[in-house]
Amino acid sequence: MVIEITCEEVWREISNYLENDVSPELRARLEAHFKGCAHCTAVLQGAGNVVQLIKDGSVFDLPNGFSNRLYKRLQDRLATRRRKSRH
Amino acid sequence: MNDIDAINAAKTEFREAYNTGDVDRLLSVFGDGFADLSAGVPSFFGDEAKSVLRSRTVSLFQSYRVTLVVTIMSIRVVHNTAYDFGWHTLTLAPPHGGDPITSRRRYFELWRKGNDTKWRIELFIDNLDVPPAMPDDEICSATVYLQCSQQ
Repeated sequence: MVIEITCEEVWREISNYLENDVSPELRARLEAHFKGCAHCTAVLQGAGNVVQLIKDGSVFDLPNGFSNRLYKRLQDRLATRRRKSRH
Repeated sequence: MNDIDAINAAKTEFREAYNTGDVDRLLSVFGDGFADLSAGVPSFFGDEAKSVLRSRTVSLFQSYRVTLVVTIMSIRVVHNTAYDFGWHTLTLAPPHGGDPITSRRRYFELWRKGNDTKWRIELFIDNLDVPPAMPDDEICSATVYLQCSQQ
């Protein structure tokens, strides 16, 4: 008999489920929940899509100079934060 | 077993009682003085509520093969009281063939933990669900604006 599980518990476990890092008992509870809950199924599919995108390196062809711009922006933001924390 | 697990287990009993047509098993999940505010039927309270629930479900199980799918959105526990809410999807299949009837309801339940540490339903209320929808565009943009301005 599969024990009920709440949507909130499902959301907490979705990444573990996608990584196959849940016990067989929890997997059964999650899968029973997905059958009846369109909301959690949508969250699962969304999370699954993100994992697929991350695995597919070609999707993330970054423009030239992106890394430098990102690094500079992070540095600027950190410097601003440090200045604010001094005052 | 923590309280949320205990309520999950009690909801499982609730579901299995419907799916096996077991009236006593269903009633075991309800407190003696519970309030039944189910949609579409008169409300009942206390001892009457249990008698009426028994009568309703005996009749239901005689007339249909019942399949209940429970979707618990959330369970919140405060000391010896808890509430949960979600959806019940009930499918009633006529025993001698014919089209099954499915209804989906939004429910809210108030639970009380007894001296025996068992959680039982003190109040049950539900209403008929409608198909999900996105908010209208103007509400969406107003909400996004509000979120941005609060950051």
